[in-house]
Amino acid sequence: MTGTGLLLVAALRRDRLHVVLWVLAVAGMWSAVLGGLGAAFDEESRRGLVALLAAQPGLMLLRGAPAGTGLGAVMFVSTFAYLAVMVAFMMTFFAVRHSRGDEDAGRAELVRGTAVGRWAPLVSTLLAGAIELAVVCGVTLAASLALGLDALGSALMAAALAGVGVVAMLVGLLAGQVFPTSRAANGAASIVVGLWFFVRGIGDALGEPSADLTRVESAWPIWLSPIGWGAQAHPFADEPWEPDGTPLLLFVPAVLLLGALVVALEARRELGRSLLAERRGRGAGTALLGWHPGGAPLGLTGRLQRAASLAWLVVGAGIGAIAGRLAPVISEALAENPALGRIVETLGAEGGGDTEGLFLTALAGVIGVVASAAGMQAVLRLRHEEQAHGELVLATTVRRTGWLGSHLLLGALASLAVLAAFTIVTGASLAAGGEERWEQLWRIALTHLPLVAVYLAVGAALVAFLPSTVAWLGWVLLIGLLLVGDFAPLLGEAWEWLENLSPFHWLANPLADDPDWTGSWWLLAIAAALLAAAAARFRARDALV
Amino acid sequence: MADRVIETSGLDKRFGRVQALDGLDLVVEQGAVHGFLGPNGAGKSTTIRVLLGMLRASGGEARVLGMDPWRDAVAIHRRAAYVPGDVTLWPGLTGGEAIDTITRLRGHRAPASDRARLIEAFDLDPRRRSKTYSKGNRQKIALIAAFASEADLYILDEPTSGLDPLMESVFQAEIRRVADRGATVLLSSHILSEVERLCSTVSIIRDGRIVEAGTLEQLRHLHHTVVAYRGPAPEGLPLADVSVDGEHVRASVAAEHMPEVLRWLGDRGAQAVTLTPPSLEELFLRHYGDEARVDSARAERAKGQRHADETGLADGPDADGSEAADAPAVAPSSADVDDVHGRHAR
Repeated sequence: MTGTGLLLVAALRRDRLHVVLWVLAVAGMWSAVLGGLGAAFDEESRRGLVALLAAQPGLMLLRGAPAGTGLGAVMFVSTFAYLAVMVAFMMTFFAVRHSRGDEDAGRAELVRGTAVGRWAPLVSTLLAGAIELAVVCGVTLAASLALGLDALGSALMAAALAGVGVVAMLVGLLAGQVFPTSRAANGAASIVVGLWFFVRGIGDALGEPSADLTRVESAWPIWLSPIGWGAQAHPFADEPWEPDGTPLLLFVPAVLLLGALVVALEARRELGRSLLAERRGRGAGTALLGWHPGGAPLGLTGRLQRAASLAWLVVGAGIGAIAGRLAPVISEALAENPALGRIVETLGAEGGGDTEGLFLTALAGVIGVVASAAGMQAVLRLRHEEQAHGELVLATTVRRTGWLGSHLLLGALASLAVLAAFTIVTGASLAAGGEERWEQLWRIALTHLPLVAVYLAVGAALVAFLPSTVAWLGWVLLIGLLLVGDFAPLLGEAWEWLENLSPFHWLANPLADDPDWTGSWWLLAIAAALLAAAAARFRARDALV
Repeated sequence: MADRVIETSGLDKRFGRVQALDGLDLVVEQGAVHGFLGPNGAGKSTTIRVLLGMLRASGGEARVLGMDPWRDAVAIHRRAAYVPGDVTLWPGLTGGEAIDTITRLRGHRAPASDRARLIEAFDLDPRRRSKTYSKGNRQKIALIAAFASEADLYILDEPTSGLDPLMESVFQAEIRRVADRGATVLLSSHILSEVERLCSTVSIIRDGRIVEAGTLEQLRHLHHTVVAYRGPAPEGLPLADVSVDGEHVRASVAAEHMPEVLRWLGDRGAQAVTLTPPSLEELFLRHYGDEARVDSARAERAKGQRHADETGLADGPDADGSEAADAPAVAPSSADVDDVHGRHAR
């Protein structure tokens, strides 16, 4: 363990900006929504909001199951799942960055050559992670106390976030031990976090609403997800329910189990090795790999993006499977519950009373984000390629615009494939149950194309104009604007301008009889302008080699 | 006059406030194996990246194979092969895949004609994933990709820094092979013996400027020969770096003073006379030494008065003490010599 202290200090020093950003994201979102909700919604409108949520499984899938109509309860149900996902991502990225990432970059070798003990890197990483997590959760706790929320509830929520964070950190470390590159490890850990979110969502969407629509008893799948354990503590529950920390005890065996696994693997693992070993491969490159029509290295880029695109595709198909299986179940539940039926009818004006359509659209919103992420990730990859392999690639007949174009084209294909996979899996699943919704599904997919185009262009613009900050800024723009679009309505009318900034706000409504496409055309025009500027800049600037 | 494959005049490159290239004039003739020497941070890699169109010059002119490196980058790349100093490969690709991909991206057919022979000669296992290759093996892959198919111009940025001596000799054989074929080579290197063995012409870069250029013979002529003998201490001779230890005398002589010194030695009956021609290393160290002085002077300015004393102490006697103390009045200071020679060479 020699040197643990020094490594700990170095890790914390290296991460200070990360911690600040995550505190701003997590605690900032919590306080902003809390302030906005408190000001904009009185008891009665909160009751309406909760009834709406309880009546819409699609919304519960994305947000959570309500446990009362008090300010804290509404706050919790509308944000906790997102906060937990953010904390989980913070910790998986942290863990991979400090384990596999350091080994990839050769830093681990440098450090282990000095007078540090065999276990010092792991122990210092665990400690640094715990400290950073404690900072984020602590500030969130302080914010809820300062804004006047119940102390027990605030503490339970902070503990739930911390529990999710620790489990996520261990998952990240495991991924780093199992996968040979940090890219693969981050991808795998992200999929696990995504599963936590959706498994919890399924449990909530299949939940049993109370007769007065003020609370929903989640179904059993919620117990499969650490985010679900946190949600089940119901930190701000109203009568007759009570806040209950017991579900949080599930974190203890989970942490012990994962921790033991990490330690056991680490004890056997040599520096730089992974559980999934690198096999020997082909001794020669295929013609496809070197294919570069018009100076666009499509073969190479395709090969580099293959694994990531497949993963996105599986995510799209998985969400489609959820949608296809859940939609009919939900309309049945609705038919059996007259109170729910009435609520949905009063909402009728907005979605035409088509609960299943609303549910599918809510999920399609997620698919829109996944498709945009798949495309943008492929384009942002160019920045890494330029820095790591620019000297090799740009000394060949590859043209710069061709290089950018190959990433854009393959990103666009990945996005389209995600949308298509969702549509086909959902549609086929519904059709198997004797329900034809193909036209509606394709229209849902179509309305999301402008969003995909915008984020492809955003990725290209970042690579061309801001190559040194691009890695995280793109994701902030995607996730941040998604959250803005989702949460700005909760903040009241004064914040409408913020909502208007989000491209999500301008998508056409696929359920409308005659959708308004004006916003979509504007988005496409903006994307085209951004792309043109990006291509010009990428050609004119120095390569980052 | 032979064709000039690379020609730059007054090439400037600024990164923000840093002047990386400062009026660089580099000329490489058709068919030459041209050594490109300079201390770390002198601008070697920046020059190469401008020549390959990866960076855009801030000022001045550059022609590579008769074309503009920024505008016609792709056309140049069709005829040039490049080995970067720090080779990072795609972790998921095998070595063999990387070689063939680079070959195809350069517009050639894969497998290239010499691929199998080079893999054998460099003793590379092409089926391993790139992530598992050592630095030397990664360099081999870039070298094989460069040499496997023909090019008119080879640009190599410190290509042997990770190779073992055996592989280095394979590398040197390849350089000779392409040079015999008539190709031009620009070889940036730190390994002076390698440059001395391979290169017909040399440019030395310092602070973004070429300070010496010419054939090795020209450069040697311009520099002092070391003379050692047993006999009387020298008097009234244009010598530098004189050291006298009893009867044993060592000093350095500028080329133009050699006849005079030899006459004097003959007249005085000096014994055991040895004349050592200057090695590239001495030539190079001269610039490293200057670099050290320039650096410390800069550091001093930057740090201001606070540390002025310490720096003065640190580099004073050691860096240039011998010349300052021993050089007779006749010998010009080394900085002047460099300047004069630099102009000669150009």
